[in-house]
Amino acid sequence: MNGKRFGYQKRLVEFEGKLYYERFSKAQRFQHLMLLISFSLLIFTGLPLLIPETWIVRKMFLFEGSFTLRGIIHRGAALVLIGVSVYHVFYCLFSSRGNRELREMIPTLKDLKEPVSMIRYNLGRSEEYPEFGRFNFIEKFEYYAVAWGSAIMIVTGAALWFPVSATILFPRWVLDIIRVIHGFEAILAFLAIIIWHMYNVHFNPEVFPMSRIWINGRMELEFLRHHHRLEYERMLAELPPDKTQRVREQLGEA
Amino acid sequence: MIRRRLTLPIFGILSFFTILLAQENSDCLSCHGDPDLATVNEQGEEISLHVDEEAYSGSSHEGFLCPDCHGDLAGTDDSGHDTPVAPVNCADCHDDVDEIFRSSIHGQLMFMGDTDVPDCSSCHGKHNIYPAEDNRSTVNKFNLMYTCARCHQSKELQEKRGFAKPDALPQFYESVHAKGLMRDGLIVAPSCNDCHGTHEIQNSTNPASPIHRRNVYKTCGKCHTKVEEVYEKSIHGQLAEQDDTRGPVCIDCHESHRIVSPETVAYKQYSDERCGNCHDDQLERYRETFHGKAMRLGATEVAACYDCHGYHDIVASEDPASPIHPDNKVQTCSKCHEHAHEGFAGYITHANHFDRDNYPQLYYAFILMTALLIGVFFFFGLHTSLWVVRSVALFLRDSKAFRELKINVKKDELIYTRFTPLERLLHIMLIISFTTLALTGIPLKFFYAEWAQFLMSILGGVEIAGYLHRFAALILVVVFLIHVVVLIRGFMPRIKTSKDPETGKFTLKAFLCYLFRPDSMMPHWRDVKDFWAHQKWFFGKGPKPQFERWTYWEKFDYFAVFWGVVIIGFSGLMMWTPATFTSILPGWTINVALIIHSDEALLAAGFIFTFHFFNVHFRIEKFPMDTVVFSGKISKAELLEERKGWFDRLFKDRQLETLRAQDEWESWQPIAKTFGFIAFGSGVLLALAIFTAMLFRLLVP
Amino acid sequence: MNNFKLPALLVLALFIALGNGQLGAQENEICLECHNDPELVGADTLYVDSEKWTASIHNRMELECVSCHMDLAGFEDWPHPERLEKVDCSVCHDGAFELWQQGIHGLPAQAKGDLDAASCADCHGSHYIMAVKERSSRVYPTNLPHTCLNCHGDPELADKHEGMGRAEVAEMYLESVHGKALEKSGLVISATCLSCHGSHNISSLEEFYPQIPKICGNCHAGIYEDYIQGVHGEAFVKGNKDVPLCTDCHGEHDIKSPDDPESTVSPRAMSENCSHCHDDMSLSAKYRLPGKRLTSFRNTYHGIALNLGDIRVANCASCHDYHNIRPSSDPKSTIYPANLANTCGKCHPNARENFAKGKIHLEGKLEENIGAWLVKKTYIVLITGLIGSFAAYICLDLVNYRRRRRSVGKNQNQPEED
Repeated sequence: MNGKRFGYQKRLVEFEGKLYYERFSKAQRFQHLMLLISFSLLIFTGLPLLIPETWIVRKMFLFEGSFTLRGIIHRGAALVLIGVSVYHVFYCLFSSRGNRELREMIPTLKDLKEPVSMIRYNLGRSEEYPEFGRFNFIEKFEYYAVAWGSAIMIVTGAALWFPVSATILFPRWVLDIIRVIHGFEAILAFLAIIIWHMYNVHFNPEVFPMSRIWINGRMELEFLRHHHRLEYERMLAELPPDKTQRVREQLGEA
Repeated sequence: MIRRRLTLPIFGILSFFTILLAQENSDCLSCHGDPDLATVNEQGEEISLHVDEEAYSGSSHEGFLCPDCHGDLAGTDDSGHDTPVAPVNCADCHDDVDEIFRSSIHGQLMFMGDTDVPDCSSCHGKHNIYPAEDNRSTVNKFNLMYTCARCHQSKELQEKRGFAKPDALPQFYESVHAKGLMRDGLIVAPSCNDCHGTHEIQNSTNPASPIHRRNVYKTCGKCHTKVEEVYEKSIHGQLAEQDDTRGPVCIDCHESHRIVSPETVAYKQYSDERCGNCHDDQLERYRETFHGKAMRLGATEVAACYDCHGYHDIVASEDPASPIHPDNKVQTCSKCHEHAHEGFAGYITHANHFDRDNYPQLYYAFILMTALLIGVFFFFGLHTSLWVVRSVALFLRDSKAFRELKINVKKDELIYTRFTPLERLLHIMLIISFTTLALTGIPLKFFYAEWAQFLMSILGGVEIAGYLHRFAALILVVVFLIHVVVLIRGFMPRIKTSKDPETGKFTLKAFLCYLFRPDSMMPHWRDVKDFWAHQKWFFGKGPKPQFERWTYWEKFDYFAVFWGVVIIGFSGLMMWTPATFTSILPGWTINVALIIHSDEALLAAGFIFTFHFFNVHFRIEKFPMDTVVFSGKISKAELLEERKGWFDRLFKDRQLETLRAQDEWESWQPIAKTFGFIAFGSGVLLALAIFTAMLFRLLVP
Repeated sequence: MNNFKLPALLVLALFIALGNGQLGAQENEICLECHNDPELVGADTLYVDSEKWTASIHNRMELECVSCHMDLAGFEDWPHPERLEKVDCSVCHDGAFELWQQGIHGLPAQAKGDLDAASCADCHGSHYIMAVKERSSRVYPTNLPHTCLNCHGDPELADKHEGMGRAEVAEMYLESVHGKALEKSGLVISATCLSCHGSHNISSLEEFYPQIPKICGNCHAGIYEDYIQGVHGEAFVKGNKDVPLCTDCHGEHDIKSPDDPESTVSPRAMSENCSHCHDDMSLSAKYRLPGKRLTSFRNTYHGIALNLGDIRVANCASCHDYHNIRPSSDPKSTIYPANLANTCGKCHPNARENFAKGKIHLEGKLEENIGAWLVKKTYIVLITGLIGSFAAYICLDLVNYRRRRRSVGKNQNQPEED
């Protein structure tokens, strides 16, 4: 492995005299923020359609015209999501950092072994915390879930937005299937985020009440060493000796 | 009708003789039954000579023989005729109708030789004449407008003759009458003839015409009888009765052809202008009140003229029957304002704050607010212009040094905290609520401007803007309260120290010392000195003053907002719950509250959007924006450049290090947690809602 | 009372006899001389206000008191008996009387001698009758509802006679589009009681009901023509009892304008209104119609949006038409397959044939759209599986965390990550 390819020098940032591992760059944090905003708006304006009979939804559309507003907001948020998705695709393909991250995301056989070893660890069968790379299986799963989900939601949403144009391509009963997909995919995404993602970044006792990495992008070196051991080691291997020394000193290893 | 009954047998007998002459309809139809039979007239136009036997046999004239009408062809044998037949004279039988027709506008013109006017067949058809009740008839109620339209909507005739109301028919199609007739298929709804008459039709200028101004209400009253009865007694009806042009008749308020239902939004929206056609001064002053402004901006739930004054039954306000008679006012207000009472009804609905004699309280409130407005703007306008001139002069004199200083200030590595996270958050909330309040409130003040109407339509109407305004006001109140709580909490630890150590009593002196400490926002003698020094600097007569923690204009900003929130908040609360306040205060205080609220708001918005923005962001050294209120950080170089007084004090007191920028997550945590848990809580609730809904759907098929 | 009046009357009679010489042609003034004097006859039933009488149509037609009170014709022996015979209007108004006899008011009066049932004077008044077309007539459109309410607004009477319309009906009427037209717009051409129920020969409900479309058609002529062409009207003409008549959708006395949000046929209420029959299993089975039309509509975007207050979306009538409703097999129907693109195109411009392919009402059944059904089931399995495993994993993680914290607590020195 050629050390320079990963650019770890830039990843090691200093803040108030302490070294941190820069987990997310500004561009990535921006993408996450846009995703967060558009996703919340989409959920808030879309899910009521799946449970139209409930009391809370009826209260939501108390005002005249609020249902129309719902549609406008939903479409506006969808445009934001589309925008950030397109930006993300370009970011992954053409920026050097994005490209490196994308390569790290490529699924490998190790991703199948990781959950097994993690469960073994959690069951107490193994005392060793599994060694993870830059992205562990949970993160990869979430990434692909979001990527795949966004793609599905964008395509099906576009068909539902322009039903007349869509039906040039196929008969309307396909649109009914698409509506079912759009609805259930939304439920799946919402539940995955509210349970799986929220647990991992908020309620996991190790980060409770919230991991701040999505705001400032900095990950503490201790955390990196424990949760992303392989990444940590790879970084140390690439860093020049003085930096390596500082990292080790900070972690009390030297 | 009676005549026709008599003529039928007579013609029957006559036709018996004609049968003897062996001339039957079938003889004529042997040629004229051919759909292609046609001739060419003098102008070279082809004219069909076809007679549809089927249409004729079901028509009113079924049973008559062709020569009964085409008399000049009687006795023609079946070899045919080549002379053009003479025009049919319907008056031979229908002489009573003919007599009426001759006196009508159509008839008079016709006998003056006008060839454009319709004859019998133009409206009734030729061989296919049916009784008017038959829906195949061209003069049947449901078809009549199309028949009239043939001439009155013909572009050619409109241009040639200059009809007074060329759009009458399209307008009629929009009317409630046409809706009844055409959409609801209501046979009782009026068609053209019901107002204009049929054979006896006259110009509206003719006093005999049913649509002559004097007769209009009687014509409408044929159907709207009860309205007519009420109208006749009203002040409008009485004036109209005396031929006084000031008395409006039905069409002045309802229009003649495009009559829309008064229950529609469209009608209400323009009703004030219709009354304003005559009562223009009242309309102007109505628009100075919330009712009029909101109406102009598209609200539908506010009081229009007729909601208070009545409509057909309108009488002078001195009349005890009038809804705005002092005895009836409360009841009239309570139609919309449930809890209206005597004091509430004291609100001045057509207030005029320029009228010193009748409304002195409003006049002086207005003068006071205007003076304040002009004073502040004049003072700060001057102050800011001087500053601009001075900055520009400095910049031009040595722009290189100016720029370098700007860059240096940003580069400095030593960063200090100027605003705590809570202060920054409060400022952001203030920005949000203030902007919302301005966006939803200012359009009401400038209701007449097009942008105001546009803004309201974007916001979704006056009602929604009202909700947003109140919501933003609540945010502002929360911000204000948090700030006050912070101020009090800041003082709490000082209570002990401000007590006299010997007597244990609270001393005013210690309190005042705390209140006017250098970190405080309270005005200080130093500010006057700073101000004077600053003025000198503007004219190049002295060095730039060394400011303390807060500059004098920042203190002014702060107090402008502080008192602004109190004044605007209180006057706003008065207008939010007028019924509560007017149970203690007289009704006109609401008018005063409106003047104060709106002028103070104009002052605030004007001040913030010009002087505050200039003082903070648009000064050349800060342009385009000073982000300190978002970041909370100030560099050492900037601190020395701008607030050396503060820096020196901190240095002397050895307080400087406590303000060194550091990880402030600790201070952010409560804020972030509050936000996070609200967002998270609603997410979990929604998830639960989905689960239950889906569960019920699965369990209950 | 009579004793007191007697001498006065005797004097009067003598006076007249002397003055006129004969009493053959009784004039109205003679009767009014006593009957216009409230002190003489009391202010109630026997009193006749000469002014009002003079204005009445009967006076203007130059009728005399004895024209109606015929038993007094030629009477000379004053005072006349206290009880006069009932005035018989049918002497002149024989046509109206015959109609009345056939109506619901006339029948019980004839058969049972029920005096509660309205007779001529109850509606038209007695001495001060005005012509029907005159505004002060008790049966002039603006006054008629109040005249009917004299009896129908009386709860005691309503309790006594089963099936008698109650006062609530009048209240409903006054709030209806017809009542508002009458009261607010002052429209005398608006429908009043008699426009629908008739005047003299008011029929019983059983007879009245089948007449409804024609009665409404008297004014709503255009709608009637639409209606009888549609599937409902066609069956109605054939005598079917199940089809909806005008009143079944629009209400009876409380008819509101379809533009009124409170109307039973307003966009929001329409689907529920149609569902009375089209969501009814027994009717659907009887006529082999697809049932559950409401629930299947509410499963669509149109149904959801409409239910949540967006009235611009399609309701039943947007696709099926209002009065001229036809089955999808009828080539003239708006939902005939070849016309569907056009019907959808009213709201979705440029909609093509493809746009209309597929079920519109969705029940979520397998045969309706196999693809959608499969996708739905797959997703349910997928979601349950995924969320289940998430939950399991999280539980495991938490349990393990707790366990390790405890063991860390035991050996303080041990680093956490082990």
